[in-house]
Amino acid sequence: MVSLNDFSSTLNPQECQRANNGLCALPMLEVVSGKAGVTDYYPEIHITCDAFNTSLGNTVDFDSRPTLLIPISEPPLKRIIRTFFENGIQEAICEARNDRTAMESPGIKSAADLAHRIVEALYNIKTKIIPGLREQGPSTIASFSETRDWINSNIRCIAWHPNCFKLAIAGSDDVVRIFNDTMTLPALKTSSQRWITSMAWRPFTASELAVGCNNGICLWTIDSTMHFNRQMVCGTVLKYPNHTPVTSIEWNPDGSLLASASINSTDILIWDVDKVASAPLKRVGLPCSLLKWSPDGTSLFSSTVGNVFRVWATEKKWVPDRWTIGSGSIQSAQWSPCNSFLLFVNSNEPILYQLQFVEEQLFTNVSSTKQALPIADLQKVNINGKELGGLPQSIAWDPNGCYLAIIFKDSPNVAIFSTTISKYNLSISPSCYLSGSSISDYPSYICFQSKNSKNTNSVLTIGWSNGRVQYFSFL
Amino acid sequence: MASTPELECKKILVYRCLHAVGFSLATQYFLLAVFLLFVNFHPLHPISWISSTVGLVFSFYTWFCSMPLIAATIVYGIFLGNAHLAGRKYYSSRFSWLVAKTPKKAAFFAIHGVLGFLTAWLYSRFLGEDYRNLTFSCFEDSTCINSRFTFITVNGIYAGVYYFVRTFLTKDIEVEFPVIQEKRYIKIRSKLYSNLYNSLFKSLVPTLMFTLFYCIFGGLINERVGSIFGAKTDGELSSLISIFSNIRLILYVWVLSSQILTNMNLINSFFSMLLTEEIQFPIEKSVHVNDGVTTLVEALALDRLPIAKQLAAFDLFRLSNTSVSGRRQQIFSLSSPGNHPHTWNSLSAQCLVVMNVYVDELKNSLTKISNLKNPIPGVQFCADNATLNAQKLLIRQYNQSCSIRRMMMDEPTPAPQPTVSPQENIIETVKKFLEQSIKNALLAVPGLFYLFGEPDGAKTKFLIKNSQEVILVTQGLAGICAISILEDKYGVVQGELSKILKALLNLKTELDKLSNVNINGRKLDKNYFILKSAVKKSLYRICTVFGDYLRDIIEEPEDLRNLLCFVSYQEG
Repeated sequence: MVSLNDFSSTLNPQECQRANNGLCALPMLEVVSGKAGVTDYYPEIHITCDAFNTSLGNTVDFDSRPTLLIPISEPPLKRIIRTFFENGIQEAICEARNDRTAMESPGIKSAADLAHRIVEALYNIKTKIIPGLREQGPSTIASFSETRDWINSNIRCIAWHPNCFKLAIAGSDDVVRIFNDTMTLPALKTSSQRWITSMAWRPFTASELAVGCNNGICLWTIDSTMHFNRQMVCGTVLKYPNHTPVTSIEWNPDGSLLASASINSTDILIWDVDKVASAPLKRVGLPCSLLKWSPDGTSLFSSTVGNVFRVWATEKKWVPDRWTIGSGSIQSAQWSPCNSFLLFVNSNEPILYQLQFVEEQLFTNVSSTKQALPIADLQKVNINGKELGGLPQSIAWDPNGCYLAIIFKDSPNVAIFSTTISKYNLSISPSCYLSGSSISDYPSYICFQSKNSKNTNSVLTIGWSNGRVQYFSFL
Repeated sequence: MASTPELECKKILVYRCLHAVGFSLATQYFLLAVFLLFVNFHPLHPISWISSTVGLVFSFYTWFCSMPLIAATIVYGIFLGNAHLAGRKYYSSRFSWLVAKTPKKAAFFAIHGVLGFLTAWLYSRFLGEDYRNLTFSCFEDSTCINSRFTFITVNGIYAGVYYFVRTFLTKDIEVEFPVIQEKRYIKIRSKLYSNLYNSLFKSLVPTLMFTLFYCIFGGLINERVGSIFGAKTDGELSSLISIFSNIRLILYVWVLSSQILTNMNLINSFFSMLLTEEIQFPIEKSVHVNDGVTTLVEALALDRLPIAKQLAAFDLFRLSNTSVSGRRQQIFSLSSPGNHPHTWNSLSAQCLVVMNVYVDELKNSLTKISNLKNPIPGVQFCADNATLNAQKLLIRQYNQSCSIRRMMMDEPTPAPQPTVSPQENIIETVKKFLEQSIKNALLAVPGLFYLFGEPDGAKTKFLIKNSQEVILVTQGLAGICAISILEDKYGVVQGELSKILKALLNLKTELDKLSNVNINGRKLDKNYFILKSAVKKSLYRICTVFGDYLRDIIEEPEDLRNLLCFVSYQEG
């Protein structure tokens, strides 16, 4: 673990902030990550997922990695029948329509084309009647995920337990690996758990983990005393019609409610997990993609796949406050620890926005409308041959409200800003940036460790594209 | 005589029931309008279609025809309200359940049938000539029973009865608290849409079943009705083909069935929705105004009005989680004059009463479960002995190796004192043997124990099923304790913390006994897992906050050891 104490020079916020248009600029100071300062009980993690074992192994369109299998020659009919039994009717039709079959047996190709047209027509009718049934593939999930290169990244999601030292890491092989300070717990895998998009530990429980994936939400209760050879069984899979794939899940701070969003559904579901009951928050419009519960549980942020997002007042009968952004959709968002500020980035602009929530305004002005303010310019810059900035991928704010980390869609470094929160004001200044161990590495996922009795520091956890997990402590 | 808090709460709840009946009547009228739009559908003349329908909806005739249905709905509402406000009672045997419930169930069954019939009758008033009259002149100077009309009205009764059988035959009327508290109109809109949509699918199979039923028994029904009115049967719908060839009739009946199911679902939903709407009970009584308001503590003590108790528990739960600390500050405040934490003391005492009474009842009920009677203490005893014996053996081996002799004799085990004379003992044994034999002989009679005996673990199941307020109280109290570290400036909570933790641990201990028990071959219902999760979460919540101070709060080492597992998040 590397701390800011390891810096060779002290930071001078005045030096680099407020570059253009009064916005905070990107940090210029690089911190070289090393082994110094690694706390003993933080596990060293390097996740490598087999190329064959990924959840998208069969969907060749999405996985550009070269296959090691040597193709064999089969008669076309045999090949189509085998594909049908192995991968289903859709893949069998695709196989029957490809060029190879067309050369070998044109009759089968024309029959398959006809079947394909009929299937397409039926599918179009179905999606016109019920738009929610439109299938969302991995590429759509990836475009709304906070994880960079979600399809190919070894690490898809990282989740810290809010109350104790437990870390869950989901890989592209659909396995969730659990680590704590003393031992590695069994890996969690089930056939229902494909295309993991989000994870959340339930607060005030020892080991209840919710995993949002293609088939719904898998709820795991992990027995820490369990032997390695004993098979883990997923307790419950929470499903709701047309609410798949689940792209975002969040527990409320007291662990009584779980919110879930799916890019296939306009409803946000609020689950009472113990009762296995749910209540939909219905609004006409676009499907929801991202959820963030404020630290005190009074507000739930939800973004849609379009330019609309809402903030639901959970204590005021769940009345939403509707907001729009200029273009694109919300890429990532974070609440401040004091619940007064929301920072977000969108998919089209390299700008960090701030939204302020003040409970009661003493002098309310009717004419003034609430607006999101741009606070940081994230335009791509080149610092000593290293690229930083660009379109943002994800943001993470530490639980003390002192540091903000941002990763980008097409630059391989992590930008870190210092933040200071006062009652009515948020100030931000550039701090430093972090690079991977090699030039080809880029950060896939970032999050901060939660504050608890064992940890009071701000520990940034970075999942790199090569599967390495790095801890960066701000002591 | 009912106490003032009970009366006050009843007043609020009755008022809510009246609201529910009002909403039910309004939606019935709305659904009737939808039905009229459907039956008067005229695509070529849309303006006249809409204007005639609107005219019909607001006509005196419609109001007049609706009166019987309105009256039946009010009676149904009274039944429902009465059932919701009634206290919970445990029936130890199936026979006692039958005796107590049969009259009520029979009356409820009848009112469902009547409601279904009146809905069908009202809707048939607006159908064509062929469907709206009971009789028609069929042959020369003779009248026939209109089988289309009987088909529709009997289907109405069938739909009502079907709803009763599916929803209330074996289950008691109860409310379930919603996952989230939304605005009333949002909930009504959502329920209306979902019910209208779902009922169409849910009524499809029952309608087909009814068609089959009518095909078999329709002739008999028509004959009986004809004999009452001195009319003949028309024999029109005597076969399955003749029924299915009348597409319009099938469509009417299907839509009508779905409307009846929607109506009944909505009435029940409105009751459930309004009765579970949160009430903010005052924390302390106002000294200036004696307006007879019920405080939170008083409401938590309303054992005879479970719904009010649940609402109070729900209020406590919400109070512990809300970001606004105003009401919590009242709990943590000191009395003036005197500076005593009366509010907290009375609230915590009442919550502890709720928990401890539940624990005691659960403990007693567990002794009656045959699976749990002996094994656990036995296993524990053997395990202790094995450890002790091993320890003794090691000491003995060490002593022998060091040539240390034991000079002290073992304590002689006291011989059991004879308490009764041998003659009395024989009489007692014979008596017990006879009792057991008679009991076994009676149990061997088929059906006798089924009817009159208490099923294994029935009381436990009853308690687990009715644990809603305990679930909310434990979490509410734990939430208040947890937040007290920030808000309780006088430290009033700390005095009761040990008792609260003890009560939670006791509850957890009793629930753990049930973890792998099948009662009568069945697993416990989901309430068991909800309760267990709530207790654990409550313990975690308190231990997370007070983890560093537990050694000062808890005296018993066993309890402390258990709680430290929660502090380190190692309790599964």
